[in-house]
Amino acid sequence: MNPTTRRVAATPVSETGPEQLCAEWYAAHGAAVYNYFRFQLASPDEAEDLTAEAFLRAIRAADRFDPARAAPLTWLLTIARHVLIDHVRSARVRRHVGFDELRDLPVDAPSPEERMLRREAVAEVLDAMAGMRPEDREILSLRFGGELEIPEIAAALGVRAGTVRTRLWRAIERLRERLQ
Amino acid sequence: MSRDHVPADLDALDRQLRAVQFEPRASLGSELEGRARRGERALGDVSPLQSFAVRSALALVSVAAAAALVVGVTPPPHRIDVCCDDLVGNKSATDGMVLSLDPRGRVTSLLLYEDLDGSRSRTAADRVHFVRGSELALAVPAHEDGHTTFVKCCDDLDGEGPADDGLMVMGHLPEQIHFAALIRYEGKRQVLR
Repeated sequence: MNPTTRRVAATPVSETGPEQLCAEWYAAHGAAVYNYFRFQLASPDEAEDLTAEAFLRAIRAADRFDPARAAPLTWLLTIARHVLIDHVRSARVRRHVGFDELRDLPVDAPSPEERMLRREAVAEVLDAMAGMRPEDREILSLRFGGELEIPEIAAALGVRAGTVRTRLWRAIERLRERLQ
Repeated sequence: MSRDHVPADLDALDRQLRAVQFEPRASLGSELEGRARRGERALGDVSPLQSFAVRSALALVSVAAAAALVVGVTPPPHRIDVCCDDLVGNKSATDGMVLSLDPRGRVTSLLLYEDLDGSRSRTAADRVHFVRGSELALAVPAHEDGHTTFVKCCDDLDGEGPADDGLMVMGHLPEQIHFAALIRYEGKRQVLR
């Protein structure tokens, strides 16, 4: 993700319409929200649907957003968490990640073999994550998909930063065990 | 993202995970803008239909509508302007469609345009690709040389809610369009309108 697209201040809701607000938020945080979902779902299509759902919910609730309490991305990812919870409750979530479903993974390796190995490695990581506890998937996705800092994850989950740090390292450790 | 003092033994996997970045489809942002502009509701929103007051009001309106039908008064047709996407196979998400539908959902007119002024709606500055009335008719033989068909699927194009509509466009695409129709997917059946 392009780091310049992050940490954009929220535009006051009263100054803009839903379309413009949606465009601004999506330009600033769309990739992070998409990656949050993508780390937890096998299909790019599902991740796109849920990204759209999260932004539509955010637009509807825009007047309740308080920039003094949370950064826009933290707030959007909090909404995204609820969207994912609803999705998991209502749908059968597929676990196995196929190569053909990594079409949204840009790989700029020089040779076809290297590109295939890179895709294989990512598919393994996603497959391993899919078998983990929801709490582990959640914290890994906020961290590596949503690219949140530890204090921001703490704000999104409503726990202390120290707790996040401990949970995060344990989740990475469990992921490593699954990959070995 | 700062490193937050990753334990040394987890550093390699931490780096590997940081390097994984997916890219959403390029058109997702513009689609989302369009949905926001049309005031489309999120699936998880609490529907106003769940409100007792609104349900009661709707019941009254239903009674009034039924009464109006009895005396031969029908609601007026409605118009939908959908923009912007690639609707004619030109690989550019700048096309829009204006549909007029009668109260039974029948298409009474269909206009395809290119949103030249970037207004994301039909204006006089836009270029009209194609226009037809309620009749489904192909202006030239379908087997004519160079005739191609482009099908866009699936979305809620008729404003009824479900994303069960497609758009079929035929002609010397994308310059000349000889036929365009909405497709409604009903199981294995496809109904053109």
